[in-house]
Amino acid sequence: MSSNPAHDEPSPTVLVVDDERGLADLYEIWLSDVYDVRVAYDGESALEELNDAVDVVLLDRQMPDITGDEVLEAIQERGIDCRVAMVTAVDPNFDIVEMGFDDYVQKPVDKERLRDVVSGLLDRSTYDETVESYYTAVRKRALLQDRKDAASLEESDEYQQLERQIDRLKADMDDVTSRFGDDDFEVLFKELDET
Amino acid sequence: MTQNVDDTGTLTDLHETTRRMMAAETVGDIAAILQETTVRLLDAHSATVLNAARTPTLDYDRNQLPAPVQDAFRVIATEAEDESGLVTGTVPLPDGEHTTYVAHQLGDHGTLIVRGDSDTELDDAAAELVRILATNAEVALDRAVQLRVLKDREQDLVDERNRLAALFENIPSPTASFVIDDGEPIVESVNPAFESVFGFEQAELAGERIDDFIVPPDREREADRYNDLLREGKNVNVEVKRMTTDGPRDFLLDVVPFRLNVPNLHGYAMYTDITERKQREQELRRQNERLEEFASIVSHDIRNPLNVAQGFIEVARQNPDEEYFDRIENALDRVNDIVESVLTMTREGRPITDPEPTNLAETAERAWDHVATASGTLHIDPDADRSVAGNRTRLTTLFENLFRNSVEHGGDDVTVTVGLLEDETGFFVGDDGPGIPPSVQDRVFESGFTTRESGTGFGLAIVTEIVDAHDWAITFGNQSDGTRFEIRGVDWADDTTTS
Repeated sequence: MSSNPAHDEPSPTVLVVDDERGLADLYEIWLSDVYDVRVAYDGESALEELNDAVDVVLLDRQMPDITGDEVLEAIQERGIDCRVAMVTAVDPNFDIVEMGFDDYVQKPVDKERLRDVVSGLLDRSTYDETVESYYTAVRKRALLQDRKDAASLEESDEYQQLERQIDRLKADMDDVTSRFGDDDFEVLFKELDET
Repeated sequence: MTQNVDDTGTLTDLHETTRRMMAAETVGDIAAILQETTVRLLDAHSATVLNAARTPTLDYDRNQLPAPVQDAFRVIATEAEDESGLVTGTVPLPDGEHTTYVAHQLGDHGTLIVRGDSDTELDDAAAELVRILATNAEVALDRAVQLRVLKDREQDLVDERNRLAALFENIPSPTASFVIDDGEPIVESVNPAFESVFGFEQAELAGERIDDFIVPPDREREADRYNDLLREGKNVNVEVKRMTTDGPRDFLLDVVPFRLNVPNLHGYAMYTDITERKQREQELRRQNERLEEFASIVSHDIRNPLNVAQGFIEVARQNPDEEYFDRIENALDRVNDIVESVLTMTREGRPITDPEPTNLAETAERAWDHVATASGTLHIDPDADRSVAGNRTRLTTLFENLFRNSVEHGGDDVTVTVGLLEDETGFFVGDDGPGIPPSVQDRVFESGFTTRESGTGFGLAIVTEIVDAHDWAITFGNQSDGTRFEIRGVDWADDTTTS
C-alpha cells in the first residue's frame, strides 16, 4: 500500500491542532509538500476547521479552554470520518483506553516520524473496521505496557477491559484475514510488530 | 528426773511450747525454744539441733560443741535422718565417759539431739517427749520456712509493682491506664507526662471516659472504632490526632489490653508524639512533588520550544528566510524564560525558617509598584493593615504574580483589591476582570499553564510555591465576576489583635 495520493485525486487533508504555534507551523511545513494542511492554534478553531474534508487530525492534548481530549469527543459526536493521532507531551495513562483516537504519539516528534504517522493513518483508513479497531487496541496496550509496571496493569479495570477487547477482536479477525491479500496481510503485521 | 508425758504440768508445758514455736517467725527462734524446753523438761545436759548435710542456715546449735562431739553428733543426725525418726544410744565424751542420747529427725530441717547427763539417763519416757517435741517443732519449722518463702515472694511482687509504677510515672510519653467498663474505656490513672501534655489532672480524669477529654470532635467515630477493637481484646497501634494544651497534635497511639480478672478488660494507652515526624514526612512529600514538577517542566514545557527551535533550524538550512530565524530566537527566548521561572520556583518554594511580621498592606503596595501597570488601580481594604508571619521578599513576589495575573487578563483598567477574609483566616486578592472560566480553574496553578500567547504559565505556579512554603493554602474565592484568590491558614503577627 502507498500513501501517495493518485494524481487525479485531491491531496488528503491534515488538520494540525497545537496551541504551541511554532510546533503547529513546523508540522505544517513538514507535511505541506504532500498534503493539504490546515492549522488550528486552539480547540475552538479546531472545531471550526473540522468537517468531512479532513482525513487526518494531529491533536495536542493539553490546550487552554478546549482541550484536545474534548476536541476528540466532538469529532466522534459529529461522526466525522477521519483518523486522529494524539501528538502530545502527556504520558499515556489508563484513560487512553476509553479514548477514541487511532494513534498516540509522544512529543518530541521529528519530520520523519510525523510523516510516518500521517501516512500510516491514511493507510489504515482503507482497512476493515475490525482490523482497524484491533490495531488501535494493540497500540494502546503497547503504550500502557511501556509506561506502567505489571502490578498497576493487573489492578487496572481499564487495562483488563482492553485485554478482553483485544481477545474479542482477534477472534473476529480470523474471518477478516481470510479476505486479505498477501501484501496487505504482511503490511498489517509488520506494523503491529512495530508497536 | 525426766518429766513424765502424762504429767499435767508437763502436758501444759508441751502445749505452751508448741504454741510458742508456732507463733515464732524464724527457724532460729523455733530452734531456741525447742532447745530450751527440751533441756528443761528432760533435765538434759544439752539439746542440739543440727543438720547432717551441714546446711549452715539450719545448724542451730548454740552450745559451741567441741569438734569431736560435733562429729559424733553429725553421725547421729545422719542416722536419724536416714531412719526418718527416732534413734537412741550412747555417745563417748571427751573424758572417756559415755552418755545417753535421744535424737529425732525434724523433717527436712535437721535433727534434734538430746544428750543426757552423767546423772540423767534418757529413758523411754524421755524418748517419747523428744518425739512429741520434735514432731511439733517440725510442723512449726515447716510453717516458718513457708512463711519466709511467702514473704520473699510478696517482696518480689512489691518490687515489681514499684518498678512498674516508676516506669508508668517516668515514661516520657503520656500514658493512661484504663478499664473497659460497660463497653467504654474509663481512666484509672494517668502519668505526669499525660497531665502536662493534655492539661488534665489525674483527679479530673479518674473514672471518666478518656475519649471525652482528648478526642477532637471530628475524630469521635475513629475513636469509637478503636474502642471496638479494644473490647475484642485486640491491640491498637494507630496514628491519631489528639487535643493537647498546644492544640491538636499527631500521636502514635499504642493500646495494650489485658485481662486481670474476668470480665473486666484493663489496658494501657500510650501516646507517642509524632507531630514533628509527620511534618518532616509532609515536607518530604512536598519536596518530592516539587521534584516531579520540575521533571515535568523539563520534559514538557522546555521540550516544546526546543522542538520548535530544532525543527526551524532544519527548515532554515534549506531556506534561510529571516522569519525562520525569528522563530528560532523566540523559541529559545521561551526556553530561557522557563529556566528563569524554574529557578524562581525553586527559590520561592524553599521552606521558610525565619518568618517575620510582614504587613499585608505595605507589601501589596510595594509589589504593585513593581508590576508594570498602564492604568490599573490597586485598592487595599483598611482591614488589610495587618501583619502575617512570613517572608517579606516572597510575600512581595506572591503579590506581584497575582497582580500581574490580574493585569494581564483583566486589562489596563483593571481594579485589584486586597483585603482580609471574613473569617480572618487569611487574605484575598481579587479583580474585576473577566474571571477564570470554570473549565480551566483546576489547571491554572499548574506550571506551564497559560491561556496567553506571551505567558510562560509560571506566575501562579510560583504563587503556589510561596503559599506552600508558608504552609498556607490558596483557593478560588466565590465572586460573581472577576477573579478572586483566597489565601488561608496564615499566622497573624500583629503586636495587638485588631477586631
